[in-house]
Amino acid sequence: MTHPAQDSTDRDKAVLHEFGYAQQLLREMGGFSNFAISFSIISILTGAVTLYGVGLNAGGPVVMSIGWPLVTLFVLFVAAALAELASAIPTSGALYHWASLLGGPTWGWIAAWLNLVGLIAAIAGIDYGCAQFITPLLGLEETPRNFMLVFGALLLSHAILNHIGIRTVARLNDFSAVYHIAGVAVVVLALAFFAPKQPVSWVFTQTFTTIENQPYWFAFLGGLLQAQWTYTGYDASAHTIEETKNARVSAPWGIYLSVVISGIFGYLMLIFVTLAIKDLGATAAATNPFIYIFEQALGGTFGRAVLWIVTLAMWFCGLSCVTSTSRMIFAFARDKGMPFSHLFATVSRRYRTPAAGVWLAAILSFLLPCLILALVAAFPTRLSFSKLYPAVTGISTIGLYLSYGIPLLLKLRAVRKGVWTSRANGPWSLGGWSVAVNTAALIWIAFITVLFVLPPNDLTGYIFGGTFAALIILYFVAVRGHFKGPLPQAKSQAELLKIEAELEE
Amino acid sequence: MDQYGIIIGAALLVIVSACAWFLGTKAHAEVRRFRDEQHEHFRGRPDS
Repeated sequence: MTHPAQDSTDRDKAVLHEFGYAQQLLREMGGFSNFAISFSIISILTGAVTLYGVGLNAGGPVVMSIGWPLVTLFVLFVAAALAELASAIPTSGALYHWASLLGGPTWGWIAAWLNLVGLIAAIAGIDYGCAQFITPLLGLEETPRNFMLVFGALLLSHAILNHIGIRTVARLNDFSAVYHIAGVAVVVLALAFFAPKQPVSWVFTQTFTTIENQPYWFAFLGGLLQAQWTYTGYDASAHTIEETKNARVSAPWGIYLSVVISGIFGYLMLIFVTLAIKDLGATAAATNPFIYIFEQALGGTFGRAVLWIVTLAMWFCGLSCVTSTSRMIFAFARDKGMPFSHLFATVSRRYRTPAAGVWLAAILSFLLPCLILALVAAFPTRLSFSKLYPAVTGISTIGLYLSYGIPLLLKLRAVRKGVWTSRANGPWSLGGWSVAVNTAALIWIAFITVLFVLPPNDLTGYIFGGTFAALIILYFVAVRGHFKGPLPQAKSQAELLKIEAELEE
Repeated sequence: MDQYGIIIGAALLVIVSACAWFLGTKAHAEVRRFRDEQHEHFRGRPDS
């Protein structure tokens, strides 16, 4: 009799073979691990915390109480629509692979690069944000040089751990998910019991902005960057789908539930943190409003202890994001979509991890803030260091959401043409609601893409526009006509089995 | 905002919760239907 777990693994492998790929990566992750990696990358203790000051300065407490659920609503639609695609096409190339199959290699190539740009900026945003917390907590002076040194050390730790092995990282990701929930509980309970609080109605009614020359409603919309950047990276469940057991069901649930659970716990945390604000003007003006609230509400030592808990969550988030990005690089390079593909498509024989992809992700993530610092140095009268962090997170948000939007748009087109029917769906689908949910998701993606490049986020627009122009040039010079999209690794089942056998040796 | 903040906030929370529940329930039903059509059934714990 076939063992049920073995049966599930064989079925996963058989589906992968149907797409022409061998089972090269170790399929070790269960459903919880798959959920955990997306939940850890969304990381409510990273995005919502490091951009707390941006949200507060843009629209005040109302950004937390009304902005968060508003963004959550539309992100649910995006997540559900992506989950459907992950179930239908369960390969680690994910967005890139979906776009290629639905619209051809050019669409796939664009989606892949937008996703990569978004993921690289996400790693930079997470680890740089973590450095902004660790530096003062260690008692170091808050200078760009110290931030960059701590940032580099954090990236190094993530690259080494991701190189060493999927088992270690998977265990840390599992722990990270529990840690995040426990961390929010500590934050909420500490503030609930020990901090003086504003009345609940204050959080829902208090408007505030430091942005000049713009109406309040527009500033409020700009503040949604805080929630929107938090809700990024949940495509990680799809990037690790070739390492997940019962992949066509577990990974879609991983995408969807990571957003739902983050929505609930993120909201709880933001409400309690905002209730603990003593002086709104002073908090908004502080170098780091989140740290300021804790120091004011809980005192120096206790406040710092809670902040260390939050900071460790950011480290976990960075670890998961490097995992996800390296899988994306591996899948794209496997299909010869990037320069030096043969190098980045290799898998470490010893650890069975995409080691070259791991190090590329870490190096590019380090270079992005360097580029922005160079721009700030070159144009000191027009740009300031304070714009660095919103710019990095803005690039990440736009890059990722555009890469989410491309396969969704192509799927809608395929449905309209009758190319995609219900027979193409995987087990996880929305049935008759699929088109409506896809459409709502696309409208939201279009809206935020425009919103987050308008002033005061114009630096994001310049850098993203420049990157996109460079990609278009690269496409026409070196890629057009050469890139064929997802390539089967072998022509027959026997050849795929041979590739797998070589790795087992 | 003084008058409407709480109403808007409460309404949003209800809408988000309802949507999350509805989409999750719908997907769960589709997974079950797919398994029935594929004749996939639970066949006991791995150690049984």
